[in-house]
Amino acid sequence: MTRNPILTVLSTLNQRRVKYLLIGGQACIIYGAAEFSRDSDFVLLGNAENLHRLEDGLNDLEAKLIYVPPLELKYLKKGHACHFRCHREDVEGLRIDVMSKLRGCDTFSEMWERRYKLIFDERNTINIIGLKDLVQSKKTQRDKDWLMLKRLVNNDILLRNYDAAKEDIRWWFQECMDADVLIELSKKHPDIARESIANRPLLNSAVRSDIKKLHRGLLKEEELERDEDRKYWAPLRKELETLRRNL
Amino acid sequence: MKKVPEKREISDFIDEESEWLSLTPKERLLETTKLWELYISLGGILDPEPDPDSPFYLKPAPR
Repeated sequence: MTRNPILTVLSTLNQRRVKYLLIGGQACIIYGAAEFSRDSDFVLLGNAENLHRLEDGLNDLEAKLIYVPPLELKYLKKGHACHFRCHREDVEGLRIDVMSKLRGCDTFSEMWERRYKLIFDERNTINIIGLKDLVQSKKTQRDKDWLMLKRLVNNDILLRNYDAAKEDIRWWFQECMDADVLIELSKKHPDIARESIANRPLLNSAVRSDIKKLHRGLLKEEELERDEDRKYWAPLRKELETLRRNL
Repeated sequence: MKKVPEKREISDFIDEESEWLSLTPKERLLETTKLWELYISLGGILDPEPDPDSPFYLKPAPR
């Protein structure tokens, strides 16, 4: 029997035919940005049938809701996460967090089409959020998410030795948060770099190898995204406070 | 027995990162399973610490 509790959870969700995508720290492991994480986060197709399947899986794992909100579609559709703790002996204490909507990301169905399918064994195919969607989901207010975002994009660039299909190089120019890598990328692909300035003006500094200005631009970009995430969560946090008070 | 170096150089970490990156996604999953086994054998708990940086985190209610 495997001693990886995450695989146990994934296997349970597969048995119950839950339509899920693995996100967060475990997805970062798959893409090489982390080596270990106790996070067990999922985005789900938000419909009644899938929620019912999830409930069956959670019952199998003896998982109990540990927080607000309750597991209801109306909360998931607003963007809330529902939090569980497993109590079955082989997964005792493991947290499972589920959402059906991620800020700034496409719908579940669109992300599902772009998912990465990892065939683990004859019975288990693990559905993992696609790299580009994972990067988008990491644009939050948390320091650790930005660290992961930077690693995810840099790894993709390094693994492909700065060369890929034009569409992917454009994506690197759009998402890379590392000044040194952006300057190097601009030297290797000057035409795409110049084309990309219209969407991301700070690339002008990368083309001109102005590392100080590029650093400032990247910090500003990150801060704007963090602010957007705080604004997005403000009403949801307020609702959580209300739900907690009414417990 | 392999001698543990007194001080680790930056290149050691870069090599470890490259090694991890050179694995396939499935190999990474198998490697992280070994880390889980070690973690559990050392008495590690599965429940993560509260993350005050998370948007889900609400300060404990006053008693």
